[in-house]
Amino acid sequence: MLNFIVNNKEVRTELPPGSALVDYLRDVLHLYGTKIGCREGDCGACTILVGDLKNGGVKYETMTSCLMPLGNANHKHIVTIEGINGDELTPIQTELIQKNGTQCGFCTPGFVLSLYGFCLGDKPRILENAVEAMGGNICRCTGYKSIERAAGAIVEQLKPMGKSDQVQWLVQNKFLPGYFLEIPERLRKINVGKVVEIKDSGCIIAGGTDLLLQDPEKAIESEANLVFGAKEYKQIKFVGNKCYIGAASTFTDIKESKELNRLFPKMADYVKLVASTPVRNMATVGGNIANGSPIGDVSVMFIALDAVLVMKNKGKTREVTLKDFFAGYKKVNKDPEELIEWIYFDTPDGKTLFSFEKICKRDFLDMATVNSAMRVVVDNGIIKKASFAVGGLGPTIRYLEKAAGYLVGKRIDNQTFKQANRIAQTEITPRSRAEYKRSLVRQQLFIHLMNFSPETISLEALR
Amino acid sequence: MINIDSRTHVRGESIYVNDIPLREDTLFGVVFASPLAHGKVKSIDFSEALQIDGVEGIISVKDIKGENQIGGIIQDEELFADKTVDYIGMPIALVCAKTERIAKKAVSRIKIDIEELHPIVTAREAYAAKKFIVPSRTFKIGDTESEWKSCAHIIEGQAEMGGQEHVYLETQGAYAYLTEDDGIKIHSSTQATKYVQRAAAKVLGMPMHKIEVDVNRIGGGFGGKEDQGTPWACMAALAAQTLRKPVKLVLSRAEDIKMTGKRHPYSFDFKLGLSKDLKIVCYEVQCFQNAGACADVSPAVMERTLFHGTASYFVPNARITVHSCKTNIPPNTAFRGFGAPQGMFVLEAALMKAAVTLGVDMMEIQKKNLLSEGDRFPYDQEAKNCNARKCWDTAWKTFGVEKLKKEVADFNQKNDLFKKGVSLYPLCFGISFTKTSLNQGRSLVHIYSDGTVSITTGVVEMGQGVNTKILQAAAQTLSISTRRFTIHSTNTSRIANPSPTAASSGADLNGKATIMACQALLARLKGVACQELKAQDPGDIEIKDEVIYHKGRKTELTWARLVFLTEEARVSLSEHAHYATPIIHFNKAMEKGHPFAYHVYGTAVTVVTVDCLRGTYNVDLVKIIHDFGSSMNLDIDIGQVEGALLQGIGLMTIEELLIDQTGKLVYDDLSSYKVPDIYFTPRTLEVKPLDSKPDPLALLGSKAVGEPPLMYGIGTYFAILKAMREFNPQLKLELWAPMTHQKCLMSLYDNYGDLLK
Ligand SMILES: Cc1cc2nc3c(=O)[nH]c(=O)nc-3n(C[C@H](O)[C@H](O)[C@H](O)COP(=O)(O)OP(=O)(O)OC[C@H]3O[C@@H](n4cnc5c(N)ncnc54)[C@H](O)[C@@H]3O)c2cc1C
Ligand code: FES
Ligand code: FES
Repeated sequence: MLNFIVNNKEVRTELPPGSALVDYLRDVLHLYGTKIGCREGDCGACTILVGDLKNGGVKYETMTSCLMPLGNANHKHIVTIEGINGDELTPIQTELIQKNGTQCGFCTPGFVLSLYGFCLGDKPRILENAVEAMGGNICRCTGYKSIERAAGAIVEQLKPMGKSDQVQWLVQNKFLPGYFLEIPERLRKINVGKVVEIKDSGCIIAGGTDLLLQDPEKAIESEANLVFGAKEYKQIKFVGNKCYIGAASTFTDIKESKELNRLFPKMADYVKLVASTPVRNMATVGGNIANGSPIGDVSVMFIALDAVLVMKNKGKTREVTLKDFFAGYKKVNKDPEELIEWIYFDTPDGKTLFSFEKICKRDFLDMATVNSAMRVVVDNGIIKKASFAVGGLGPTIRYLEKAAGYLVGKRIDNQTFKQANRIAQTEITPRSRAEYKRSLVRQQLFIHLMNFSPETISLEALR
Repeated sequence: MINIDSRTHVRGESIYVNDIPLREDTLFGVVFASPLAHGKVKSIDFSEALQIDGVEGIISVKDIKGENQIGGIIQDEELFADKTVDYIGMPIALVCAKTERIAKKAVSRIKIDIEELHPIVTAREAYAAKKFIVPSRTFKIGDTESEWKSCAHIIEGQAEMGGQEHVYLETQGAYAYLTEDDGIKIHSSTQATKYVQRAAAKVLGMPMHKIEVDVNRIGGGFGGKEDQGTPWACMAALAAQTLRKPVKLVLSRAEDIKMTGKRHPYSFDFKLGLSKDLKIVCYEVQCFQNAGACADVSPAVMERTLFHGTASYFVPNARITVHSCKTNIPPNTAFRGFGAPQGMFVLEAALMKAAVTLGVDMMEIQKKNLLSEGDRFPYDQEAKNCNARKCWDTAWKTFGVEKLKKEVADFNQKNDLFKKGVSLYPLCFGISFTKTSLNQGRSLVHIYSDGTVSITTGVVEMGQGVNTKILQAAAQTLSISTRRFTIHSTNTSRIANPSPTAASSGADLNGKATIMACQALLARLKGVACQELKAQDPGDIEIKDEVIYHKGRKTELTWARLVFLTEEARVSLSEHAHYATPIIHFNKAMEKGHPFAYHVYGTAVTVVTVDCLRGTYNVDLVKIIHDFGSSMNLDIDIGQVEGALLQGIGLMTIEELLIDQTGKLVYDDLSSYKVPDIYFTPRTLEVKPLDSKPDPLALLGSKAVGEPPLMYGIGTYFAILKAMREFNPQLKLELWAPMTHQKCLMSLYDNYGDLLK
């Protein structure tokens, strides 16, 4: 039995935990304000807010309800557009109207909820972050500019809001209805003694962003083993010189992690290229690896870090290096019920450099055509160690051993790049769009090296 | 005035087909469609699917009591494939079950045996095989034949333009149920209630009056629901008729993309002749339109390509030919611009090629050839109130193009890895359905005894704000508060035989009809006021802000009271009016006439930055001078320009409609077919109204705005191409839209062969 709060109402349901939340909202609760534009996480029309207890309050994040497993709503506060509406329009709704940010209206509730995600989030309240909050919302009518203008006006209105007690402020200023103030208490009541308990059998469901898209029937029909939000695996820890990332960490956790951003100064920029805000709030590292996608962005990054997986199956634990984990297109060397617990890698030191590149048809919210990551250890201008992982070239992510091997002992310059490229090209056999993908590998290799040593390498190398 | 729908929109309370509360026993339909692009159906086996618990029936050709025919312009389109399948995604049957999940499962159990035939996928292949939808057509002006020899420069080449998926956010859908005495009511997401009603009547074997089609609003259409809302509505209605239960059919996004037609891909062969001083002397173009498997509206789209073949330029000698080629892909259909973007793109491509070949600035050629007052289009209409040059000059001055060009040049001088390009795009677009008979609008206005008013017109609201404009026109005509109005759903029982909401003309046609209805009501109301005030002449009566004036003097009589009195006096408070655009005509045999009520002009300035390492780009700036006539609602009109622009930019850049040799769409869901997102919109966007005259044939002088601004997106393509040439001046000029990231990178580095060396 699942038990949670939708808007201002506590609900219970026996529906399968692997069914999509959006169907429950629309078909059972008749909350038709949540729209379905794609059922693939790609349009944002179904965006809702999910509130969970954290540090005494409730933390809200947006998610796409079309791919959100119903089970992941358990013990949470789900907010749809109906839960925002009061007798009067809220300032967000008013701004969208005033700036003509709605035409056919089908996308609009999703944008409203995304803007609420922005208001309720922890990030600085600047336009750039409001835009990022709406990165998963497609509007085919307005051209976005009017929505951006509305967001700009909202940013202005939020200026007096403090960093804590946001809900209080938002209620006082009529952004949110008053019942939000009681939610922490109400959630605590239904949460007493409840934690996510991982079983050692059943179909593992994490964020659901892959499973509910690829095989919704399986998600509904199998016995679910829900791992989303499991506290022990939703953390980043350091043991010796190893950095451990819990498999239930979401892309947002990665993007926002202070530690990771200290170790990899551009991590937040990299992860911004992965999916969209609501999908990043759901999709987990474990899911990205376990689905065996040949273009998994996180997988590509970790392979280049020579990461190791820690897995558990019915109490037995084993480790395997990530680059040896992938067996074929969406196939991995793992028992279906085996749980990925951790992924770890050597904590980079001052001499380690890391670079990630992703080129797609559209810059944001798109799967990579080719993505790649490179890690090198450079001492006195000489490469001491190198790893190079490339996705998008075939059934699995490729670890370009020879090209990386060649780099060891070299200085970064045009000659080194040219030779490394020649070798890399012999290692790959792209299946589709081959010429383009080969070119992308070359360009990305160049960009990585240029990121590492902009003074010693030049455009001439590409001519 | 703000869009009247926006309050329910932002509250998620606006109702689309999928939000209509369901009647008990409603069944859910899922379409079983052809997996192959061309073949003969040998056998279909539904038995296993029918055994699944919850499946209530599978509807196919055998259930059709009327005709298996839904073609609009030409009767060549089956509702369900019968003996042959002609494209991947062609509907074969509709599985109806208690839930959508069950219906889906059942669809996967249907077995079909098809003898595969060779599919034709591209327009040029079809042309070679002489497969056409309709005979080819040519527009001519002057005499190209004899004038080529007077040209100083002759540029020839080929160009391509890809199609485009509509991605209206609300997918296609319908909900149908029986009404009393075997009538049928259909809620449909369509731009054309008449087409749905007509086709359903034919398929169901019923008279039209028994079928009621209702559209509250649609979640975007862009042309994609002009003809193509029809099949789903007919299927739902047929299933409701057969199974005697309500049936809902809403396509999933993936089904929608696979099964429905799109903007037509075109291929072109062009030849352009310029004089010594860069004036266009001659222009010839052969356009190969990829129409898909049946006609749909392709003949009309082809016509608009012909009409706009000379774009915003004066071409004294032109010969424009379009071949509408029949292929094995879903029937391509209306999409904002309707064949015009293709015709305009190829001429622009020819000008670009000329500029590169001759080493001159493209803007110089563009400017020299802009239309002037009185110039004739190849179809013989004269350019009247021609604002082409005025828009160009205003844009040039207002937006400081000279300075922009210099800034771009400076940037390119200083930067290797990023290059910028700047372009201007002049727009000229004709307003009216090119099929003259469609240029009629209808409006039904009721005044209730409490003084409130309801309006129903033939137009469908899809976000373009047309209902707001109609309300404004009515409120202005009656001079009463906008709060007194409701605009009702578009419904065939209240408005019969409406033209589709298309060709940017919905507001003009139905708004004018509304004004006529209001004027008729006003005349009657004034008659009653005249009696009440014991005045002599109704001409002395005026209503201003809900108060009745006599000879300019305010009286005690108010709107509400007057309405009450009118009803008491047994004078009708209802009016239905019909409007037909005057002056327009077209003679198809001669291909000459006066098809358009007026033209819309504009000029867009675009600046882009290309990332020359990645082959990606950003649109930095688009600034537009647009000819709104005298806009009656700048909020809505600027919204239309901004939205159309981004759709046009998408068309010219990242939206790639790739069809493989088997006729399969390669990018067939939203995770692979990419439309512009919020990051893709121009960093700076400014739309300024041209200081222009109200047009008498436009609603309240406010020119139609739905389609024209889409073509501003063409400017982005050429700005990118110019930036790319800054990086690689030698690049091979492939005039092939869209400029995907792939094409961009591959042209920046044409040394692909050296990769492995
Ligand atoms: C709109 C959209 C955009 C996307 N964009 C990107 C992108 O830009 N880059 C990218 O790399 N990916 C992208 N993805 C894919 C996304 O990365 C994966 O869907 C996501 O990481 C999967 O994580 P999840 O927690 O949602 O997995 P789920 O869907 O819950 O599970 C996926 C699979 O992994 C298994 N699994 C999950 N967790 C574990 C575990 N801890 N141990 C063992 N097995 C496990 C499940 O059993 C299931 O088989 C996108 C997806 C969507 C829907
Ligand atoms: S319906 Fe499109 S993201 Fe959920
Ligand atoms: S308003 Fe129509 S999709 Fe956004």
